[in-house]
Amino acid sequence: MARSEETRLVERARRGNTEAFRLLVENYKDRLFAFIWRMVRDHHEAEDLTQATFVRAFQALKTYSDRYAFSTWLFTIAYRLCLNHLRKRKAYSGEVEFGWLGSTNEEAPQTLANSEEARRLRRLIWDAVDQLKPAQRSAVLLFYREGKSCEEIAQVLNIPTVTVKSHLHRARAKLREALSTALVDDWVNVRFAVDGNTA
Amino acid sequence: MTCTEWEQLLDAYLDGQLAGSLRLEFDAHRLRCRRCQQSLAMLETVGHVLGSDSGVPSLSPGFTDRVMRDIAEPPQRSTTIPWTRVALVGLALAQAAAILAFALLWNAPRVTPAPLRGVADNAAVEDDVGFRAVQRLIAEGVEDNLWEMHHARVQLTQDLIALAKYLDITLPEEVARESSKMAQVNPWNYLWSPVAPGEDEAVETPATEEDVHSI
Repeated sequence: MARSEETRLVERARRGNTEAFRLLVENYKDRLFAFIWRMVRDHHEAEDLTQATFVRAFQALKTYSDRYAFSTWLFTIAYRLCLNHLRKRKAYSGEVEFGWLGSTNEEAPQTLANSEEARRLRRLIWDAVDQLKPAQRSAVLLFYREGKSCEEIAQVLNIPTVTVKSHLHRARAKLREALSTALVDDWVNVRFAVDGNTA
Repeated sequence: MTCTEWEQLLDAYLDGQLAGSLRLEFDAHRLRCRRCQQSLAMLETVGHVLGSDSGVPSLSPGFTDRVMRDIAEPPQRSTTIPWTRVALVGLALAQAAAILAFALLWNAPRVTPAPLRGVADNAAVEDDVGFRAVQRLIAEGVEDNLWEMHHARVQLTQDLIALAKYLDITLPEEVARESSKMAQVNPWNYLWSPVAPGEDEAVETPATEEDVHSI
């Protein structure tokens, strides 16, 4: 959806036009759900949180400033709801172990790769992402999946841009550490193999 | 630039924040250096997997309709009764009532029966002693009741804290603080303060801070 079209829809929704808001929901629901699901790793909870995000967004439309992308604003609301949810799920005391969140296999992602090795690599990568702290995980997901810049991620997470860079740096370090056990001789070939979905 | 120095620029390169000529230089280094090539390829693979994997389950059908229905009729807030709070408030009210009752009795004007005509002065002294005995009995009764209520309240607070712990419920900070404070109040302080202001408070600690905050 073009930015101008989006701005027009937001403006109409702001005036109470629910049909315009429906179009915005249709446009963003899958991306938002994917982000939330990656955060909470539970289908039912992720769906409830996605729904709550849209309802909150509609109720707070008047506070939205079009200086930022609408998606950035939506992800900001979603991220805060996720954090609250995770805090409620387990008493949050600054540093919480979130590794258990990704340990369930009932919501295992579909496998796209053909070879067992590629599947193993993918699992290794996603498991490592699941072990990251919520802020680091959000930064990684927003950067790689949503294509957000460090500045936009800073907006969503409500932290300075330099902290976002630090989150990304630490997340990459952890991912590298996790992948060091992958025993891959030549990552360049692996990369091309994944590109072609034939690894 | 050495390999280690280039590695420090890896994040900037991946974040797309390496300026033109430096980026070109980095690309050139990458072609000759196998170590940097591998590091970068590994992280690019990670980025590719994270960006392209579509292993997320789908939203259930009718999701948009549900959102629109919620927008038209916001879901009612849960009307769960906060039993812990109700119990604490109830206990506080009971304690206040007991204190009030005791205060009224304590401050009630002393009614000394008029001495009978012709009765000796020592009879008046005996009356006064009798009145004091009754007053002491009442005071002891009230005190006993108050302690009983206090212990019941402390027990209930501890039971509620244990229940919250068992159910893995996080008490809001203020409730935890208030319940801890309530459990530590010695009711005798309330009774004593009108007659002995300034007396140090002897605080009983039936529920420890640790008990409350470790939940």
